[in-house]
Amino acid sequence: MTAQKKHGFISSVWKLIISIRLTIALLIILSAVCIIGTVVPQNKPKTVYQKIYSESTYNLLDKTGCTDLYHAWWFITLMGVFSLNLTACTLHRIPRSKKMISKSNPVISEDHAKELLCSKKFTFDKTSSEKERLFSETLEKHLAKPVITKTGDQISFFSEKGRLSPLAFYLTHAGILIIIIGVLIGAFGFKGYIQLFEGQKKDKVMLWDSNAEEVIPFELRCDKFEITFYENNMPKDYKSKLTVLENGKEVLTKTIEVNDPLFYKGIRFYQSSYGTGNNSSSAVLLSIHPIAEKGEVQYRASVGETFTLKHTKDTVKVERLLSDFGIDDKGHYFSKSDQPNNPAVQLTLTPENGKPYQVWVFAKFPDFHKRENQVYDFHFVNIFPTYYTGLQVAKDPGVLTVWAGCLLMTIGIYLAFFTSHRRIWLTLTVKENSVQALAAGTCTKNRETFSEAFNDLFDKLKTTGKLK
Amino acid sequence: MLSSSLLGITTFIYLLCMAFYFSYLFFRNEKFSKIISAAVILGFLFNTAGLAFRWYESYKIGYGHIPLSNMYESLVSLSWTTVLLYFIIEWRYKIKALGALIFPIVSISMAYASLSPDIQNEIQPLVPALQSNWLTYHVMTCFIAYSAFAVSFGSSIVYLIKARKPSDAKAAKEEILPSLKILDEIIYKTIAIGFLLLGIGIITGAVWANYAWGTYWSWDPKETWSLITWFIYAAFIHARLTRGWRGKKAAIISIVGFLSVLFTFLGVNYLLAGLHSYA
Repeated sequence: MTAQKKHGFISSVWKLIISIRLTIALLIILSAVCIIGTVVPQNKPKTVYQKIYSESTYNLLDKTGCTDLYHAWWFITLMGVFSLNLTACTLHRIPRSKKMISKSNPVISEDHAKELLCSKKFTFDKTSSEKERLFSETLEKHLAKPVITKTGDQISFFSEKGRLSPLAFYLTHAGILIIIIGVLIGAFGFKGYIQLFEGQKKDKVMLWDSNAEEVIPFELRCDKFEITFYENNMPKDYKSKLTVLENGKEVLTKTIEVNDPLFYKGIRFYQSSYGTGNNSSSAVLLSIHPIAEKGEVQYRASVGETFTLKHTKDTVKVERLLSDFGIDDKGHYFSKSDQPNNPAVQLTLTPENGKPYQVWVFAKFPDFHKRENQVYDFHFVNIFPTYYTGLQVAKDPGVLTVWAGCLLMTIGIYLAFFTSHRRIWLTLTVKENSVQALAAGTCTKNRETFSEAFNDLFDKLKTTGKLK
Repeated sequence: MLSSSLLGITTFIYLLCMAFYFSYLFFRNEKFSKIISAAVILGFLFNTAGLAFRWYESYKIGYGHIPLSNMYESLVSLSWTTVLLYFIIEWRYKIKALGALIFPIVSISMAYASLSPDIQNEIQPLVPALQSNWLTYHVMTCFIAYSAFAVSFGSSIVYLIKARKPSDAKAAKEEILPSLKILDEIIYKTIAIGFLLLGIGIITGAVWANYAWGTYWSWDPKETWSLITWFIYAAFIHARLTRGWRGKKAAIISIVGFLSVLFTFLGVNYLLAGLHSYA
């Protein structure tokens, strides 16, 4: 490759990078790609895709990154090119903007005036300081207080507004770049979740995008979880009372709810879900009485608790609680789900004089535990499951940068559309028997509206000139 | 309930307005103009009262929330902002013909809201995720943006109809449609308003999402479609400002943009699942 050719190649790449055509093309491509992302489910387990697509389609989607499109290398590359294009266009425009916002000459020549959007002339007999004051006043009312320059036989009025309006372009585009920077900074944070039973504390967060755990520099404890319902059984509110512990010491307690998170040391905890489960603090209500006797006695006990039966020295220990009883093929007991479909509790009965034995008591099958020579009758009356609260945990150091970018961009768009650099000149040239007036004006936006207003202004100035 | 009756009457008046605008176009009679304006104002007042009463009734039931929480309320509020914005433009530019395109859109959305079996019109309580002041800021900005895009869409259709036949001098004199220049200006201005407000709507949504869910952007279909819409209009603005795309080309992009708005507002809810499943 010769030097010249190389130079030609670089300059054509540069030309492409600074072209608005590329911007428009990228906007259209990004839109099309995003559409794919809304139609193909994102980041779902393989089984979800297999229900919708054939194996070969799934393989194609998976290989091209369409199942996790917004993190695919080519999507990130597209965003990179977009940022590059944005930066290049912004920098490329600096010289032009410098010229646009440079101070205008308050005196205008006739040749220059001709090139402007509006320019009109009129003549009148004589000028006076009173008339000049009126001209100035009219301009001030119309646009802004004019700068008055007197040179020889000429008096110039120059009035302008919104000189910095062309800079709105930079605010908008810088805002978008700052948002992108904020998103990148956010990569240094993490997103995950914690499940806490009432009374439980943790200092580890399960991360969403990997199965790893993130250790946070303090412990979080759920003191209480509450849920309230509307009359029609729709949930009204979930609330969790959370306590932050540092080195075992309580430092902060807050009751959070949806739309009101807890913030501590750069990490936010959001109420996002809840559930019930059976853990060590779940309790059951049992009714136990000797088979020979009538009259029930009820006992409430937590899992792991041992209690003594009334009028005896026999003890019962609650070994474990399964909300949905099941036995696997190896004979192990397990809970098929968190739903109380078939709650069962395993008890160890230790008679005062005799060998301890274990029974399974089922809430829905009260007679199941019965066997010969049994002394006691057991009933599983109720289960008091423990609520756990599901918290989203997020640490995003880029969030403030993103908001700053959003603010700049919004102000930029507003100024770009709804302000304009407007300039109006009025030059009076005193001749022997008359005064030649030249009015000229220009603007950077809304030319139609400006021209109409300019014509109105011109008529007013003309009337002022004709005053006696 | 009173609000439902008021909104039912609103639907009827808007349908009447549509008929008036059609006959205005057909008979080209300026005498209609005052009757139409009176009908539009009346319809708008009923619409306002309907929304206000619904708001009041929600407090009486004990739920107490702004009527922006489900599809029924969204369609009624959207009609309200569209009529308001359209009326400002009609008054500002002294043109009536656009109404013949705006009122079918408004009437259809009102009628669909009241009559469709898929849409519940009872007042429902707010699920915890929606209990926030951001609901008002986010939804209102988006809705004004949607309305602005609807007006720009209407103007674009009129533009294309008018641009099809070159008008001779005599026809131009009797011409009841606004001039191409004015239509082009309305298309651009309403898109400018919509673009700014959709931007603010996306941002307020992000702020709210960050506050409620811990992430300002999750590529949820509604979010993504609002961004797609914003990109399409961004392309429109860049093409216009730097490449001088005006007139027909601009009108066509504006129509494409509005189709994207429709998909963002309705299509996403019915065809794609996501976080915005409530509205």
